[in-house]
Amino acid sequence: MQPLLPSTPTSGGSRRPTVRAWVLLAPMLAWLLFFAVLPLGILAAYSFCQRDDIGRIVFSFSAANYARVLDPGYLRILGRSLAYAGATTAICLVMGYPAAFFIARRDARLRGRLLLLVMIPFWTSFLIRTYAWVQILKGHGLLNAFLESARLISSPVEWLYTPTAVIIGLVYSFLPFMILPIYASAEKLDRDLLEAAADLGAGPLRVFSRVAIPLTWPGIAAGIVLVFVPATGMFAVTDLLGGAQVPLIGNVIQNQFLQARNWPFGAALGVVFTVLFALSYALVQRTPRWERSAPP
Amino acid sequence: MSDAIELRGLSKRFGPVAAVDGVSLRVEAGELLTLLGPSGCGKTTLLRLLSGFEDPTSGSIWVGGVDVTGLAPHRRDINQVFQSYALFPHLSVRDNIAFGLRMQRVRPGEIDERVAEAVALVSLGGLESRYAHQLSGGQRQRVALARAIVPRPRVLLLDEPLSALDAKLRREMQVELRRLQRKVGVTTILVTHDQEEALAMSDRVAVMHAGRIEQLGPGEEVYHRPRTPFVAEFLGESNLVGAAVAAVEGCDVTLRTTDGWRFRARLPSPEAFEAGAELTLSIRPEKLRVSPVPLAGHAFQARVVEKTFLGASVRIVVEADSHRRLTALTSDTAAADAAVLGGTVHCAFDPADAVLVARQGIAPA
Repeated sequence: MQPLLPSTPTSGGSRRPTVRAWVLLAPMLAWLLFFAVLPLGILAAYSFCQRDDIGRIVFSFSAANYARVLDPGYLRILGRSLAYAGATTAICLVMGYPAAFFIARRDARLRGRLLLLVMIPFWTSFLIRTYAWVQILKGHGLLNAFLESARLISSPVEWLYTPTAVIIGLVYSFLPFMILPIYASAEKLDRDLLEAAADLGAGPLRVFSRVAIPLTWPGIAAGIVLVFVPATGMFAVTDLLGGAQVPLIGNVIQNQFLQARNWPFGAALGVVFTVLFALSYALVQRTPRWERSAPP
Repeated sequence: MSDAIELRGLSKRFGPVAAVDGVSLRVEAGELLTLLGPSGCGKTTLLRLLSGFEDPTSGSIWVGGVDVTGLAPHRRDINQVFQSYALFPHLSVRDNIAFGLRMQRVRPGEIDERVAEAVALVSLGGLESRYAHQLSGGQRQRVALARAIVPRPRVLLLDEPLSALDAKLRREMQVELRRLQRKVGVTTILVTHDQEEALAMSDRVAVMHAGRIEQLGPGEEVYHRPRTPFVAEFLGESNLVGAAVAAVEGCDVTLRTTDGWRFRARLPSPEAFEAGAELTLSIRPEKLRVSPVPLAGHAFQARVVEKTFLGASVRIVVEADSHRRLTALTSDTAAADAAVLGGTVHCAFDPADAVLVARQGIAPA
């Protein structure tokens, strides 16, 4: 398992963990076992079961649930979810990278304050903040009032319950998860390296692509994963801001568990997603070759 | 390929502070000039103005007769060896060195040739595939140097290039760096606070103080004929003596300090001094002779108050009757042995070794 946050080159090679290390690790390992491995195992087991007429689990092995995942209707929703999450991730990256880079280049005191601004939203419940967006986006909400008073529009625009509202809500919710890991990488990026590249004839664009991007890649990768994965499974934003007009895979899974009471099928959808994400994570979060090579 | 640099009235202010204050300077093609000064003297800012990372408040920079003042760093044919080396950690030695050539869009075949040539020049053969964290300090230094010279810049800037190395390696690299600079023939500006490095490596030394160049000239000249008290004290050690002109006879001037000590100095154009004029003179510690027996000529007796063994030489601080303290540096073991703490020694210096550094007095030391 790779660390989620940007890694630094380690020295010393592979030392055998001692008994004490295992004792110290025990609480965390227990936590992982009971709250990650076990539930996922149950989910995986359920996904191969069936349900009876009133929603109870019937323990008979069947791959039927997985066959149903491939139903064109679900594949369309799956595609749409990936598209929404992809768009959200792209927008977060384009907005978050310059912000993270800007913060990382400030002096220490200003850096702390700017980071605080990024994190302040976490102090309020996510649901309450999403309801606040309803107030902003609704017919006679803040956004329309502002646009009308600025004479940019003459009559209120329907923002709420549109794909735009969903994207706005998703970007709003996940932007900090893009900014923070990129900040962690950009903060460690030495100014001399950027200047050395410019000194050797690289224009701003090539300084960015040849030096800044490769050296902040661990942060970018972590940001992409931290935004893309939960954005795909998100159902609260699509419910509240999309008005169930644009169901995403998260809504479908939630439905299977809460309304349709088809846990085995919901579990199958969940397992498919978990595997997809594990694969994509392994792809983006590979330790770069230059960090893997051992010191002399 | 190599060009002269000219700075015309270059200034850089940060708010009310002038980091660089009206510097005018010409560096000849192929010359190695050192900017020497303590931290905060403006030498690093001057370097950043040259590389283009700072814009001057006023004045201009010319390279090979072309005004480059407004040009962005990547448009200047000026390459720098950074104090931190700033090697790209994600690139191998080979790719670090090739970086500048890739930016110039040199064709791949030529890049390979020139990188191989540079690798050989700085003796890094066999390490081409390593990454920076797999290299020693000296090896990193060589990579940084190869990376800076391989694009054949018009000017090479060296920012404290040896400060991260240990003393022995530093001395080796001084010689090595100078040899390479001569071989490549690139106009070079070296920034350092290390006077030994400055004297060992440069064609000329510019001593900087408070944003200005205090004195500019070949190392020997700046060392032996300092023109200001700052230069006399920063470059080597110095005994500064403030005194008034008592009498002028020919080239020799007799001086008297406020506490009554009289000595002679051989000054250029002594007729310019009137009796009573206040002057400051510098006497190098190694020019102050110390002896157990009376010395001929211009001698006086003094008490030994400090003695420090430095290896090749011994530093002896003496106090004359007037409570004036002077420092002597001697490699004469007999003289050093004779100097016992609290004992008396005979001291002398040649009048020609008392160098005028200011046309005003200083308070007696």
